Parts: sequence; structure tokens; C-alpha cells
Amino acid sequence: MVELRTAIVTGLIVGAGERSAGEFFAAFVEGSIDRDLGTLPTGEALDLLFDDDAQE
Amino acid sequence: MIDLVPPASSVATPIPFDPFTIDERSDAALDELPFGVICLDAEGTILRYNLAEARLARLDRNQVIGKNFFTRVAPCTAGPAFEGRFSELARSGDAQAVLRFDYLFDFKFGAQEVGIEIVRAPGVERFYLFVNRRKFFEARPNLPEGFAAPLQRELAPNEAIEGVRRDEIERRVLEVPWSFLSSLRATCDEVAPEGWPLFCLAWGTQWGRSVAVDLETEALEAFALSIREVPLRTAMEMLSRGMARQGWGALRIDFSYTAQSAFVAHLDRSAVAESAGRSKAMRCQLVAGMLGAVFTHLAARRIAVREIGCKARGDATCTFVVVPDSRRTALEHAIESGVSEVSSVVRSLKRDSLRG
Repeated sequence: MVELRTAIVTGLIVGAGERSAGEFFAAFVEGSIDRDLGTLPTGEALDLLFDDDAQE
Repeated sequence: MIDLVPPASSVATPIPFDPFTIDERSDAALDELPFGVICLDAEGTILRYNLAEARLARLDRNQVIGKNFFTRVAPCTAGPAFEGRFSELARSGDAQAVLRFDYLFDFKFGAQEVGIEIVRAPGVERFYLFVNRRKFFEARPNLPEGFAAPLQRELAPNEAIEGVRRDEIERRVLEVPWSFLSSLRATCDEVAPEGWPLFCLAWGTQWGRSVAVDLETEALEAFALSIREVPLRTAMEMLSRGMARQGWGALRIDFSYTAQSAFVAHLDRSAVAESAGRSKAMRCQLVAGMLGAVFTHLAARRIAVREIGCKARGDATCTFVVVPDSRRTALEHAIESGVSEVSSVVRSLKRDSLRG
């Protein structure tokens, strides 16, 4: 068994690591994982949409 | 009495599959299937033997092709319950018959409960056995001498002095210094300098399909599950450990960006990048292609992986962005426009999809 020094998997929301790989990837392709833009705070959502445009 | 049943539209696998078209498939296509496929003539001589079967039976197909399946390779099948049914099907001449039954394969390293499906290839005297593993057990004790399948080293006893090396599951392996990769890259730079990215992406995709079969067989042996049914975290750890075991580097997966329909893979100490020396271009297209094929297998839909940072270019690690194929073009545009920081790439993907 190869032991790696750092965590192999990061950034998963709680419980997502226990989903099956097939379920996760199906949701990933469908874009139905986690939250959509409408669930973000307004400022963060607008930043996401327009921050590069503001710099142009 | 044998179980000749009406033809099925698919064998018992999650893959939509017409068993009567199997003879038209190339050896490479058979190697992409995650279940065992064995082609026999009417006497039981092995004509074709796919990668999954070789992996699960721990035999090298170069040693089994040309041998009799029932007497030399799987002697536990030499009886009325298996060989007898096969022979009756072979004699029957029924082109549309499908023979299905369950069986227990005895190996010296363990026993495997399998579902067998046998069809005749249209118009020829070739028969295809589809072998679906269901459960794995310890080797059964007190079997008669010569009943269990021989080990690879018994089929080919002199391999060590013939310069053949095998891993713990009897796959033939090569151990080469990294200069092997350096010389490959240098050769490509000499003869086809523009060809490296395309060639390596395609090569990696081919390699990744066999890595996916490895993951399937490992998941079957460890959990009696398809890799798609294994928890995501476990599947990623299996992939990462497999790469580290072979010396490709340490693969880490960051799912922080899944809300934006992307995630990120980092390969620390990439063997490909370090063998390339300093370069202005990214060098790990081989790894990108491999990861793309593995994730495509897991998703059962096409997934694109592109490298956005490479140690060969002076970046701290090699970084890959993973997206559904519908966003591949947007990802490539972002990379071409010079964006190389993960959050910027992901943000540009999100804007692209919102505007699209």
C-alpha cells in the first residue's frame, strides 16, 4: 500500500465523498451539484458574473 | 439439458452491449470492456482473451492464446456443467442461441463466483464467453490435483531467466528510468515538434481506458462493486494510489469548484513534467488524456481534462481542470487566452455558461 503525505481528496461538501463515484459524476455532468448562482450572496454572485468586465 | 435461452439484447453488465457484434470488435475494443471476454473455437482453443479476463484470472494472454480453455487454462470447467454445455451449444448449430449459467471458477489464489454467457459469432465457428464476476472468495481447500486453474508462473515457468518481470497480480511490467520518457520527448521534439500535445493526449486517452479497467477489476476484487458504485472518495484514492505506486507522482483532487461544474486535479512531482526539463509549454498531456478517459468511464459520459499549469514550465505543481465535455471549448478558450490561475479559469467558465 502506498501512503501519500497529503490529503488526496479535498473540497467536498460534507457527505459527498460517500456518494458513489457514478452518482457524483452523473450530477457533475448535469451541473446539478451543490448550489446554483441564485443561492449565493448577491455580492458574490455579481462578482462572479461581472468582476473581470469591471476591470476591462 | 442445457439452458439455451432466447438471445438477449445485452449481457449482464451496465454497458449497453450486443453480444452478437462482439466478433466485429478489435482486440483494443475488447480490452476496454470491464468484464471478461474469451473467444474459443468449437474445440475450446482460446483465440482471443481480453484485458479484464487476463487481469482477473491473473494470467498473461500471450501464454493462454492457443491453449485449450477446458484442459490447460481453466480445468475446473472440464465437466458436464461447463464444457458439456459449451459442446452442446457448439454442436447445435443454432446461430441465435445464448447459453447462460452461473459457475464457480477455482484459482489457486482464490475462487470467483461468475455469471457466464456464451454466444456463437455470426457465420463462423467462434464462440464468445462473457464472464461477469459476482463474488470473490478465499481459495477452496482440498481440491483435487489439477482442478484449479494454473498460476501464471506454472504456465510459463522460466520467465525470470527470460527477462520477464511481473507485478503482484501477474501483469508484465517494465521498470525503466525516467530517461525513457526524456528520450521519447526529445525524439518527438526532433521528428514532430508540434505533435507532442496531440499525440500524448491521444496516447493518454488509450492508456486511461486500461486504467479504468484496472480500477473496475480492483473495485470488483475489493468490494464486489463496479467502480461507479464505490464511494467517490474511495474511487479517487484508488486512482491516486495506483498512480503513486507506478511512480507517476502524487495525484490530489480538489472538488471546491463543483458548484461551477468543474473540479481540479493536481499532480505533484509529475514524472512526465520532471522528465521534460524546463519548457515554455505544458508537458503533461499524457496525464490529461489518462484522467479524461478515467473520469469519462466514471461519468459514462465524456469528460474533458486540460492542463493549466505544469512543473515543466516552472509552476509549483501540474494542475488540471476537469469539466463536462460540453464546456471543453470554453476551457480551451480560457487557456488560450492565457488564464492559468485555477479560480480565474473556473470563473471564466461560469461566465461563459451563464452568457451561453
